[in-house]
Amino acid sequence: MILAQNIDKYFGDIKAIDNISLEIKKSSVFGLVGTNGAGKSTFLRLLAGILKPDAGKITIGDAPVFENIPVKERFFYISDDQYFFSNCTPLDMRNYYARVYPNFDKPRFDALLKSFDLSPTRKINTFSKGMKKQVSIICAIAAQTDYIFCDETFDGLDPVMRQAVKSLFAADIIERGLTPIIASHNLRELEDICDHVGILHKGGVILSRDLDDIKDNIHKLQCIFQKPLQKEDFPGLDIITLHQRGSLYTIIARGNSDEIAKIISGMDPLFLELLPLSLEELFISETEVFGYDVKKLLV
Amino acid sequence: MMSKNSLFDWRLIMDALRKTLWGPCLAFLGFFFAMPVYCAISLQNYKQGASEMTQAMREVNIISTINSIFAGGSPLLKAIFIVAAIVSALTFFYFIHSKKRVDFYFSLPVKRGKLFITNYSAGILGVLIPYIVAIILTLAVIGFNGMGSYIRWDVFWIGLASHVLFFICIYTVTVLADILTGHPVIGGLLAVLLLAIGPIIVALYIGLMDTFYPAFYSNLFDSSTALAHSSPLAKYVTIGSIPLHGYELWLVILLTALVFIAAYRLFLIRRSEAAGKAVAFSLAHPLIEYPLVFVATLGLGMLFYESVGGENYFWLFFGSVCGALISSRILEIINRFDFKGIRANFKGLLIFAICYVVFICFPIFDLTGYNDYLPAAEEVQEVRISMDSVNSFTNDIIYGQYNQSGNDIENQQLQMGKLTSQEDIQAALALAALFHQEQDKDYEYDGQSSDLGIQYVLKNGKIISRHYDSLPLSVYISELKPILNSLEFKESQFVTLHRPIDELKIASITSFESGSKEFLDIGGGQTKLKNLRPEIKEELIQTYTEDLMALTSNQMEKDVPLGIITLLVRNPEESTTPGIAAKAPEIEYTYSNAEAEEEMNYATVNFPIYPEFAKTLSLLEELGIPQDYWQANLANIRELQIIDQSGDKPGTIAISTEDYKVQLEKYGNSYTTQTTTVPTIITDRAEIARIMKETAPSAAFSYNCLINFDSNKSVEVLYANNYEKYYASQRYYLITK
Repeated sequence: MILAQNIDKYFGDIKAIDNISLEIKKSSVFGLVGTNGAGKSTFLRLLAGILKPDAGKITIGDAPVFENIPVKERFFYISDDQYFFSNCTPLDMRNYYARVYPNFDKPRFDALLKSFDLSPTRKINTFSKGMKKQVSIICAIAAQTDYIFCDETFDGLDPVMRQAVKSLFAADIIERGLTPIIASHNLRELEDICDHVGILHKGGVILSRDLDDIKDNIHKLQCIFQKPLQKEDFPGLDIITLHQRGSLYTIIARGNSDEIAKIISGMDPLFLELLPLSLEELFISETEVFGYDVKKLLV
Repeated sequence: MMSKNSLFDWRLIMDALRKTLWGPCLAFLGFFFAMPVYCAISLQNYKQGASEMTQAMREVNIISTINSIFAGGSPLLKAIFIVAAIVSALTFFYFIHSKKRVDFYFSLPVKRGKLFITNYSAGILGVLIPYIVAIILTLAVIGFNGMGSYIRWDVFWIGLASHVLFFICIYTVTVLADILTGHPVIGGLLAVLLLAIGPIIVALYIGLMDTFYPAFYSNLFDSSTALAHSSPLAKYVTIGSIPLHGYELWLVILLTALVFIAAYRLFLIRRSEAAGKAVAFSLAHPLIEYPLVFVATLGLGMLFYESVGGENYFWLFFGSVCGALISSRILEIINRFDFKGIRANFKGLLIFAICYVVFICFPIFDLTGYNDYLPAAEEVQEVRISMDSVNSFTNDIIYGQYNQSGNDIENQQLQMGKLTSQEDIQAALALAALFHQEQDKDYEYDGQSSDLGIQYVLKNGKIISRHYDSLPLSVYISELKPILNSLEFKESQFVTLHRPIDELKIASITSFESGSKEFLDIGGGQTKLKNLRPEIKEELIQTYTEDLMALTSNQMEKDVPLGIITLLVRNPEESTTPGIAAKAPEIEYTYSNAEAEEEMNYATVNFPIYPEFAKTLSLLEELGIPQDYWQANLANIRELQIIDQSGDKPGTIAISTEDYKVQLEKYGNSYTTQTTTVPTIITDRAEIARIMKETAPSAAFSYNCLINFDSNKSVEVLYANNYEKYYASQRYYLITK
């Protein structure tokens, strides 16, 4: 388990991470989503021991991460802009990682490279961005670590490759309890694979829950009322967002679906329907509460 | 699998080397041409030119060439190592300046310490391996040419040690600079600054003292050694011209170890987010900026101040303000990588300005009383005096020693002017007080003048030195005479005369009037003097010493010396100054004759012979030098040319081309220029005799510091000889009271 407790991180005067506490369970896929500049990459770099927190602590299996080699052997970090040695080939990277990661599986690396149709002796600096990402992912999987930290790794992969990677992750999760932590803007992709989601905004955590729990506890309704209504006119409802278009109201609210429906019904709507909530809508709704609203961005 | 606990992993080091192979290749290219190729070409040239050289010369040249390749002073190797050290450090630690690379390396299960050691070691090996290969190839070339026996293995090993040590030192300093900064260019600049700051500070110190402290004894300050010791880079560059001592190598090792530890510790705590910033540690910024700003402020201030002759403080202020503003704004711009940094941190600049103003008041107003320092007599245990007019005839013994620096010479001259009795100390203090008092006055310098260097050895162990600029003899003669009468002073001045007799040889006796003689040699007398029996030589030297010690300042004030006795003094095996060899090291020459051996191993010293030295003159007469040898032969004087360049005559005038041609034909090139002062020609015998009584040969004045002369009024004495066009001559000066 990865445990981050009361983490602060400053870059000069800028507070990039503000009192983040997160728990990432083993053998689950953790999705880290957030607004631009929320601190996703910074948080991943803290997890990877690249940055040292200014306050709080980060542990993996109750051991601190920073400068702790046995702990660092348990994860592989894929940066959003991964570094490769000058003029190196995938084989060169394989050999280097094999020296560094004790459980590195060279045959698996070779097999994965072949299945992804990548040349082992071609210089990586001649690869496309997507191909470089593929090499990174293959290195990560072959390293046989317990955790993989992926910073926008899926961006840049074509849909087929994305599926392939998801399948690989899924297989390793089942087989050896791999725990990927994936930071991404592509919420639709994360929705398919993540068990747990953490939403960051302006350095802090808005939400961190199992995806199913979130979906069980946040619901989207559309209803029609004759008279105009405000948020205050819905007592007993924990409304996250309320949008009105004419007499059509779209409400996203927390709580049990039956209870929400009961409350709305008690207000004599002309129309009431519960709708499925996507991760994207959930993200937008949650961040809107904190003022991150698309309407404010439009002039 | 690598060892987790060890910081040292050979495979990672080799990996790092392989990834940066261009560096070792470039280094090898440099060493290859500087060592085996150069050696092969040189040896080939010697073989081809063998017939033009003697065997001894050829061997000396081969030894010199072969050993210069390996020696610590080899300029080619030094240049390669310095560049390689800086480039290698910047290359192997380049990764800490790139966010991408930092993310990669610091996320790996590799301790930061191991990363540091890996890259540090790879950077060193990337230069040393090519160097070792080049050495092996050079040795092979030498062996192939059958010249292995000429290798001086002590030179070889010392050279290797010094190159390797200094390379590692400069490399480690550059690594530290790299770690302190977040950008490779800034890291390189800081490295150069760290290596150069020592010499800069020394130069500033010398400039400050010279500018604001007229009593600063600059001759005593060994600026060359100070500069050489101010930085490992400076020390390395000066190897060869300034000797390298064993303890200095240990100092380099210690410094390198300290810098290494600092670099290592800072690397461990260096924040990853510093990648790409100008300075990696916020504390480092002021520590780097303000010393630099200080150097620029003081340097520019002194430059402007000195450009107006040190007369106007406005230019000191102007230069200081320019230096402070320009340097601080540039550094703020660099720190932020943004031109808008020009407006940043004025508060810091203001604080610096206040501190600088406080600092500069000290030299401007001499708040420490440096220039006015004069100890009380009861505080002083010993005084040492050095005056250039007094020292002139003792200089040879010092210049004859090998490898003496300027301040060693000055130190020795001070040692030769020791005074310990209270009476003498008080006389010296009176002299110093007079010099200090008269410093700012304007004087005419038409004759003898002298500066004063004085060193006080206090009873509390402190040694304090001061120097005063020249004054005319007429100002200080009264204060100087008691010192010249001091037996202790004379004994320390003429230290040569107290050397063991077998270290002394008599080279010659020369009259100052020898120009008027037909032959310079006195009928074989000079040769006879060189081969005196030891007991006669001893008697002559002892007699002369007694006469010299008995000479009083009143007598010196009255008479000029008649001539000189030249002694050859054997160079000591070790100089009086610790660590400085008296003889040329390493290469022993085979002497073809006794004269060459004499020249190499003996120093020449001249001592004056005064008319009062009756016993000496009598003994010399017994040895074949007649009394009239010391007198001018007036009959041989053809004419006198009196040249008066004093203010009451027109001075130099241009002469017509015809007159110039006439003068040229008559007097030769030596005495004629197109703007010469036209001399007054005297041919009357009585007038010649009268003038000769009032003048003395110019050489005589340099052996008597109490006789004054008028340098504006010289007399060229032309002698008759066998040449039609050109005449032998000698310059005389009018003696003044």
